Amino acid sequence: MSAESIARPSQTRRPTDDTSRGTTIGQRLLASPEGYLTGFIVLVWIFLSIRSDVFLTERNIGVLLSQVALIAITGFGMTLLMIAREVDLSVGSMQAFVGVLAMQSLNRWPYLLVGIAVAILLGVIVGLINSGLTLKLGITSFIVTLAMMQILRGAAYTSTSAAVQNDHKLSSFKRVFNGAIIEDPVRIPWPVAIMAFFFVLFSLIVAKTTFGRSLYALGSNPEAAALSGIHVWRLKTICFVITSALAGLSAFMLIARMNSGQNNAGFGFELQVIGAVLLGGASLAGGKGTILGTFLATLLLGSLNNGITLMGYNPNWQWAVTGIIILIAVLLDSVRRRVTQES
Amino acid sequence: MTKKSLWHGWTARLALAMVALLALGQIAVAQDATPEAGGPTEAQLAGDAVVRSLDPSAPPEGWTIPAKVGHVTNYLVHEWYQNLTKGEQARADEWGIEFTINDANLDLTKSLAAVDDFLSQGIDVLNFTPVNEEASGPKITEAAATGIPIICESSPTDGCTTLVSIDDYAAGFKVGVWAGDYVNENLDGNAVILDIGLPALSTTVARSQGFIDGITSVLGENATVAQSVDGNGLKDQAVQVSADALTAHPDVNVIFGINDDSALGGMQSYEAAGLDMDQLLVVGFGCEGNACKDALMEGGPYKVSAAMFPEYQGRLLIDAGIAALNGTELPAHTIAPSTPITADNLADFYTHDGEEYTANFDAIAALSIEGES
Repeated sequence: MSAESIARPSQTRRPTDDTSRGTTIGQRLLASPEGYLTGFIVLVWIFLSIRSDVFLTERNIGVLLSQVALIAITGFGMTLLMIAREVDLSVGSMQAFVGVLAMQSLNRWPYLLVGIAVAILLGVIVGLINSGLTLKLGITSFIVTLAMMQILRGAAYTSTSAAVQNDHKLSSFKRVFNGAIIEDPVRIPWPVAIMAFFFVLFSLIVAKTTFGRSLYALGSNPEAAALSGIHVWRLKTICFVITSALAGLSAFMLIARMNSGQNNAGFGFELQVIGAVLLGGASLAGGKGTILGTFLATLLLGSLNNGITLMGYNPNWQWAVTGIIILIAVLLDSVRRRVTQES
Repeated sequence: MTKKSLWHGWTARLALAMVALLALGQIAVAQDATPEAGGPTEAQLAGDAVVRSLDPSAPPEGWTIPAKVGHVTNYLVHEWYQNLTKGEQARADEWGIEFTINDANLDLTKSLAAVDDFLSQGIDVLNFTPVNEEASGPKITEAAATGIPIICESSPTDGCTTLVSIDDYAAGFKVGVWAGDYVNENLDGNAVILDIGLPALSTTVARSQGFIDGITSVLGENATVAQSVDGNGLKDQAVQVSADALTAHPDVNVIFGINDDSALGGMQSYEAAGLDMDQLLVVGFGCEGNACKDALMEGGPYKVSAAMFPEYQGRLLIDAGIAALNGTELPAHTIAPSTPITADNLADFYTHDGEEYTANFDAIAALSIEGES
C-alpha cells in the first residue's frame, strides 16, 4: 500500500462535503441524505397538516419530539458506532434490563441521580463488554450484540416476574419525561431539551474534532486508519460505550414515561434505531453517516407514526411505512451515487 | 481499495431479517380465539359441575389421581402465566401430583417439541397453551390419540378435551356496563372512549367489542369511540399510541385497555398530556398482577378491571385434568369466572398481607357464569 493511499484524519471528507454539488434545487436535495430527508419531512408535514387539524399544534409537536427523543438519543451513539463499522443490537433489550434495575434502585435509594447514575453505569458496563468481546476476541459486533440482546432480555425477565412499580414516588422522577424545561413562550419538554443537547454535542464532536475525523477514516478504511496512527481499538471502544450509555439514558427516560420498569419494554427498539441511522445516511459498511441525518430520519419516521395514529389508520401500517421509507431512501441514495459518479 | 465487510452480501441481509423476525415474534401477547359453537350436553354440564366441586381432601371414590401433569405454556415470563402456573402448582401439591412446566416462549416449534417431551416422560395429563392454535392442532390430535386428557388454556385447539378460559366478550360486556353506570353517576352521562386494543387476536377483539357493547347498552348514543388504537398489549407501545391519540382527541374521558399494561399505559399518557385526571375513567382487563390492584386501591382514575383470576384458572386446569382422566365427560369450554373488580370488592377476592395478594377461591368460585359461553 502506498503512502498516498493512507487516509489521514485531517484529510478525510465527510459525506456532508458532497452537499455543495448540484446546482438546481432537485440536485441539491438529491445530493445528500440530509437534503432528501428534509424534502421528505416538508412533504409529510404539509400532507399531515392538511389531513389533521391538530398535527401542527404546539402540543402535538411536543408529543412528537418527545417520542422521537428516545430513538434519536440512542441513535446518535449508534451513528458513531456505525460510522466506525460496528453495530449494537442490544439497545432494545437494554430498555428492559436497565429500566427494571434502575427502577429497583430508585425504590431502594429514592434519589433521582441514583437512578440516572445506575442507568448510565449499566450502559457503560454493557458497552465495555460488547467492545471487549468484539475487539479482543475478534467476533463481529453483530453476533456479540445479538447474544447480548438475548442475555439482557433474559436477565430482565429473571430479575422480576412483573413490572417494577414506582414505590419511591419522587416528584422529580416524572418530570424527566413528562415535565418541561421551559413553558413560555414555547413549551419545551425535558426529553426534547436532552435530545437537543446531545444533538449539538455529537454534531460538534463529529464535525469539529479529531475524534470525528478519525471515525470516518476508520470506517472508510480500517487498515489505512490503523497505519496512519489511529487507535482503532480505543476509538471503537469509545463508540460502543457511548452507544450503550445513551441507550441506558433512554431506558431511564422510558421508565419515567411509563412510571414503571417493564421487563417486556423495548421490543423492536433496536430496529427503529438502526433503521433511522441507516435512513439518515449511514452504512453498515462504515465510513458514512451524520448526526443531522440520524435526527432527520428519526423525525421523519416519528412524524409518519404520529400521523398514522392521528388520522386513525391501522397502526400496523407503521411497520410497513417505515420499511417503505427506508427502501425509498436506499433507492435515492443509489441514484445519488450514480449521479455523483457520472458528474 | 475494495471494502470487505461482513455486512456485504446476502449473509448480512439474512441476518438482519432474522433479527427482525426475532424481535417482532416476541411482541405477540398470549391468549387467542374463542371456543367452538354448540351448547354442552347434560352429561357435559354434570361433568363441569364435578370439576368445580372437586376437593383434594375427599376425592371421589375409586378415582385415579394422576402422578404427573405437565403444562406447555407459551409465554411464561408474562405475569398472567406466572400466576396461572402458581395456581396449578398449588393445586397439584394439594392432590400430591408432580407438576412440571415447559415454556415455548412464543416459539411454535419449541411448543410442539415440548408436547413430545412430555409424552415421552409419561405424563398422565397434558395442559396446553398453544402458540398458534391452528398449527398446534395436528400435534395435539396426535397426542390425544395416546389416550391422555389434554386440557387447553386460553385458546381452543383440535384434540383438546376441554378449554379452560373466561368468556372474553361477556367479561368485557360486564365491565362495560359497570363503566356506563359510573359515567352516568360521575361524568355527566357522556363517554368519549379511547380503546387501546390488540386487533391481531380474536380474544382481545372480543374484549374490546364486549366493553363497547356493554357501555353502549347503558349510555346509548352518549357513548362514542373516539379512536381504537393498537398498543400490542405492551405498556411502552400503549403509552406511545395513546399519546398520539389523545392529542387528536383530548376530550376522551374513558380509556379501555385489553390488559393491565394497555390501560395503565393509556392512563400514563393522559396524565403526561396534562389532562384533568378527575374527569377520567380507566378500565382494565385481567388484573392478574399487583400493578392493577395497587392502581385500584390508589383511588385514581383506574376504577375497574375485568378480573380473570389466573390462580383460580390454574386450579380449574388441574381439576379438569383429573376429572377427564377418570372418564368424566367435559364441555368443550370450561368457563372460568370473571367479574368487574374495584377498590370496593377487591378484598372479597384477594387478601392483601402488605406485599402479596392471595386469591380467595371460595369467593371466586361463587361468581356466576350463567349465560356465558
